[in-house]
Amino acid sequence: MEVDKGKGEAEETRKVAEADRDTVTLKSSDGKLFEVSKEAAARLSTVLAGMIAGGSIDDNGTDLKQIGSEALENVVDYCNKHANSIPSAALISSSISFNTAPFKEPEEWERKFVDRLSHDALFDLVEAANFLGMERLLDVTCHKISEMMKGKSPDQIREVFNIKNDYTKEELEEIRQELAWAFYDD
Amino acid sequence: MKGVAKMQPETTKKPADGLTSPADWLSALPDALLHAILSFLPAPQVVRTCLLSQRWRHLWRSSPYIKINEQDFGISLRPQMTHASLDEKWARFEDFAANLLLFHDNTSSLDEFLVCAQIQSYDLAFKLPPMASSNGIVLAKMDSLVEAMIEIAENETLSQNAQRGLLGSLYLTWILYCQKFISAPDYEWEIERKNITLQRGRGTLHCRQLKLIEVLYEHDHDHQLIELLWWFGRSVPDAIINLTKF
Repeated sequence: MEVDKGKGEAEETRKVAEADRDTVTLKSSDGKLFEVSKEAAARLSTVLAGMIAGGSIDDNGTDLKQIGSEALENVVDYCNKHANSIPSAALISSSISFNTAPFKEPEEWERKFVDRLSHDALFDLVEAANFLGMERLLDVTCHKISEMMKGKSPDQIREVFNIKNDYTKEELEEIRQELAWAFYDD
Repeated sequence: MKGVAKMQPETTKKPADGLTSPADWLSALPDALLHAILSFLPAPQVVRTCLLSQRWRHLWRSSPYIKINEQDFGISLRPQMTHASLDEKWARFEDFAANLLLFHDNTSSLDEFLVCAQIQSYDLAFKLPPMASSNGIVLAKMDSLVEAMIEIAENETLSQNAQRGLLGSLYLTWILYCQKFISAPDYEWEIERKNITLQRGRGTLHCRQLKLIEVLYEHDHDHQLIELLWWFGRSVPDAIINLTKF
């Protein structure tokens, strides 16, 4: 699609869903192109919303140099799935309920979405979501990582995430004593 | 902090034996993302992540989220739980909460603070205020706190003074949600509503920096509530008062 419209872009965005394209093309760091619904992109990503509003979207593929194609594919996939999913009822039940934690539990499809990701892909996606200002996707991916840690001992967590223990035995003992109030189970 | 590129400490340098040691992507994330991840874990586990590696040692201290829930300490009101074991768990809960607040880095800003204690047991009721207020010192220094939530299960054993103590300890808080605070009904100028009890004229609320007060109510007999809020609004001039009728 060759639309050459250098300066009419601000105008273009104003005519919301009319005539013009309702998708945006994103380009990964390794040069692959992905199409995503403009509406979903603007709704789910503050950064893309800003680019769309500011007219800095390139029809030939907006460069996202920080995001690899696998992560970008997941981002786009998430946006599309999100656009298709029926938003669950009662976004916020009551403004003063204890359950109004800012975070809403992942929905079934969101769970499945992150569950199928490989370890590396999950972390790439966290960073992509962070970079693009995708609050919900960031929450869902961070939540997934927290679940991989939940209820596990430090040793088990180190194993899951390949964290290198760079403490000496003495240091570990020192910390345990210092924070005995947090290690009441030991 | 936004969009920080992956730091790649060591992970790219492969050991000489040719074995590629898998990368530690988690520790490589910026603090803000690690805090977001930790925010989903129970507070005791958040603190215990300090044992993982040097990277994690002080991370919990700067977390902008503090959420301490009695359930994470096994406190529940299941009938088979003996008083002795409940007491013991409560002591841990109290000790943990006080220490967490004490050792939390008070220079980093706090976005969310929550202590959840559904005290219903008669014996335990009196113990909450000292913990939650920590003698009014620990919470008071959190002057960056923007939002606090305290929920107290309906409990007639929690005295007026104790409730006052809880509120008073949060005097630097900007937003305060109070749930299920109750009071003796025969008190002069005292207006009881489902979720908050405000008292008139006795300096009950010391939250001078409150920016938002939310009041849920069922009825407003003789406009007493409106009158009270008018008084209240004058003593807390910066606060926005939201009234919600059921």
